[in-house]
Amino acid sequence: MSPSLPLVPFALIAVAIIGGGLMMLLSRNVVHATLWMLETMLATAALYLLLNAEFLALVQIMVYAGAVSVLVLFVVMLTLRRRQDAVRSLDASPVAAALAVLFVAAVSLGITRFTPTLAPASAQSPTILAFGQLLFDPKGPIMVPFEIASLVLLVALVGAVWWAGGERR
Amino acid sequence: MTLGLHAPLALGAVLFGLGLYGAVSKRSAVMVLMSLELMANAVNINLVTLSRFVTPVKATGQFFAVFAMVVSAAEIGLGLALVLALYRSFRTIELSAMDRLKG
Amino acid sequence: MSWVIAIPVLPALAFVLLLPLSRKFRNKMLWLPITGIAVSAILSIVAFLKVWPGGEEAIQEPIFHVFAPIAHVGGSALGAGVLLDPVSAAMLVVVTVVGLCVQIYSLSYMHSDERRGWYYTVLSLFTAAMLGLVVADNFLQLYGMWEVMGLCSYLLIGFWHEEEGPRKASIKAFLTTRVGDIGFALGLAAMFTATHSFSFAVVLPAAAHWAPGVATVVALGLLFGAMGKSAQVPLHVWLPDAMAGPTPASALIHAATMVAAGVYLVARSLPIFEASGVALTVTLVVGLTTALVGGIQAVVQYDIKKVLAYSTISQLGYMFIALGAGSQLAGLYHLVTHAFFKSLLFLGAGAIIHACHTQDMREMGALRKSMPITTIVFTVGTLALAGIFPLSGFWSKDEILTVLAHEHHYVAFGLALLAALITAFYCARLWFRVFGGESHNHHAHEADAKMLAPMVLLAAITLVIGFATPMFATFLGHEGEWPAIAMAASSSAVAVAGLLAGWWAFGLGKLDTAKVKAQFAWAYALVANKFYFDAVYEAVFVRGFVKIATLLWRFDGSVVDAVVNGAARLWRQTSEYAWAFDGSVIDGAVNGAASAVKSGGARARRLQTGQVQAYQRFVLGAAIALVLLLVLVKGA
Repeated sequence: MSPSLPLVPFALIAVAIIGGGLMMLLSRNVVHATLWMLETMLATAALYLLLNAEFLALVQIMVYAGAVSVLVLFVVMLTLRRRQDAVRSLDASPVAAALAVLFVAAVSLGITRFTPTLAPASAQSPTILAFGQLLFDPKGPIMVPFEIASLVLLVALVGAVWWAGGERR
Repeated sequence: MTLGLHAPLALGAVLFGLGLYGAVSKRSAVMVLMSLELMANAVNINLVTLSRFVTPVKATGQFFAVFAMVVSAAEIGLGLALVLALYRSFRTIELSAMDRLKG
Repeated sequence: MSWVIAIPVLPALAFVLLLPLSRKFRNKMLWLPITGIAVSAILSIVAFLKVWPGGEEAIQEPIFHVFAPIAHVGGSALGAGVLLDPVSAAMLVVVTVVGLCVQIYSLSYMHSDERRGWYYTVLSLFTAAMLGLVVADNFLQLYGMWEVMGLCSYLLIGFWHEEEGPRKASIKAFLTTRVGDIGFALGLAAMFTATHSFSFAVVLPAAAHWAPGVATVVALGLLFGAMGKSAQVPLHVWLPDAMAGPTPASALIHAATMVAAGVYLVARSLPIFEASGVALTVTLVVGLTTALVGGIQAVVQYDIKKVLAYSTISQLGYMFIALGAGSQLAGLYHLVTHAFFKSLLFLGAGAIIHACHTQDMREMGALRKSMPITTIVFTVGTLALAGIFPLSGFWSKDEILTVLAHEHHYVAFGLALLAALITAFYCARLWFRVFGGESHNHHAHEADAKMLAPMVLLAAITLVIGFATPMFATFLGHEGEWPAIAMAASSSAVAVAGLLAGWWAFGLGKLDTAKVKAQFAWAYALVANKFYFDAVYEAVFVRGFVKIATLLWRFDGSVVDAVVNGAARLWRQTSEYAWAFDGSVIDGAVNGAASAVKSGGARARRLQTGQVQAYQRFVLGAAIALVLLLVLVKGA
């Protein structure tokens, strides 16, 4: 494992992510904002690839870029009365901006002081196959929680169906 | 130029800050939920970064991120269903209109 | 001999038993006090006979004397005692016999009065007190009984208190005698200071050794008290007004007994007076003045009871003359005879008033025809009063004149004779107006047996007692002798002259009273206005006192009430302040606390905007703080 990341790809991906986030916040049109979010998700997937997390990159695309963004679009569509309602004000808040900046500053301060012991150069992230084997290893610690997580999803979906469904309850 | 672990971590921090700003200032419930997604993504970026630089063999951070994604997906599904339900009650998804808890 | 104690105790017992009864029941129990006094009378006569023949030894060594100490003051024992010596024995007989006559007479006189029970109750108390006085062996007991009699006099004069006259008269009597009693008390205080005792046996012998000044102070104090009780000038003003009471009561207390108590007091304390010398002279002068003033006033009264009242004042003056001349015998002898014939006259007057339904002599006349027995007994009394031989009054008056001549008080002698002349004159006036002439009153009837019997008894005593003059003298320890012929002749001449003058003026009707009043208008005015004694007292003492009382009342109203009201107002003010304080400060604090909480809550409530993002910002702020804390303090 090389201890460093290649600069140019990283810089490009960083611009894509931050830019996407910014554009999402700065666009007046809700639909545009949703699409910018989608772009941010995709860029994040690219970052995962850079970080040797192939499985996670795929999952990111499938879940976030695929399901979540579509879901958000659907909801946007369902909650717009008229077409022109999609455009709305920017809702700029100095207080929020200040708080966010403060928070980022505090965290950055923490990051600068963060010096964990890095793994040796020879250590490598697992391939997808190895990842899967680790994931579903019966003697490992991850399988059971993983199954339970799927139950969590089930419960959440049932709840979502209930909340969202039906004119009359 | 070598970019160590601090670069992605800083990236994650900035993304988190953006999501934070959106969550705290946007008046549309959908916008808030999207900002929340940004924050969740920032967290995942942090996890994966740390997994790659600190525990690459066991990929601890990646597994953690998987679970975070599961929960995050459930959360967004549920949240959007709630938005729909709110829209049904209030005919709007303006958060400033939701002041029933006003003292 | 201890049954002697029963003599004053029996009437006291009657009083105590009658007192708590209801009016109706009391009225049925009249036999009780009469029985009591009858027994006392019998016992008194027995006691008198036991003391007889009396004399010096009986005085020095009384045949009965008990003393019960009650309190001890500075080493001396104060208490009550019973002393039976000749003086007290004689007084016992007088008081009980006259008292019995009056009580029997009252059965008829008061038979229709609703409150006759109470009348007898007070009479019993009075009798007990008078008897307690005459058997007293010390001055303090005498004073105590004196005061009780004052109370009874007040109660009896004011017996018919529904009318204004008796009410005012009773208060006048009480207050006037009270003035005298102040002197009495001061005399007693001086006496006690000098001898540390009130007992006769101690004080009287000791008085001879006192300094004249001390003796004078004591004697004058006692004299002043006697002057009040015995209606001497200038404290005589109450006696005529006291005639507002029932006539039998007047007979008993204002003629025979109570007014005689002053004479008795002076008679007993004569050694003190003799030690003083000045006091004797004062007594003599007082007596002379009183005898003359009383006699002159009696001449112009047309109320029969007022004539007798002024006559009593005059005769008491005679007794004081006798005592002022230093003769205990003459004073006491006249007291005894006067008691019998004056009470007789009063009872007779009562019968006349009862018959004629008036007290005004101008409405009476020719009663000799309609009330023969009354006429006879009344005449006996009148002649005794005038001093005609052989009635009792003649002998006692002669005794006084003899003493005056003996002591070379010639001016006094002359004045006393003049008083005797006046006495006879008004006696005749009274007799002719009532019994002589033509009748102005057509339905007078004779009195009944219960009224006549006592009068007959008293008349009988008046007829015969005079013949015991020397025996009485020796009984009291003095030389017993008949009056000199010259003395008897001169006094009789004066008396007869007075009677003749009266007969000429009123019997024959030769005196034109209107002309006399016009000619001597100033003299008549002086006498008619009672020598202005009452007017002066009214103006000086009564009005002055009323002024002081009014001043004090105003002071009380303005100062004292102002203080009280001011205090009340202050209190109210304070409570109002407290209430305001409570309202503004305390309630303010309480309400303020409540409103502070409310406004604080209202302000805090503004945090609850209901806006999710507002809440988020708070949380974010806290999270930032925590992160900083973690980063800076704990390191990465």
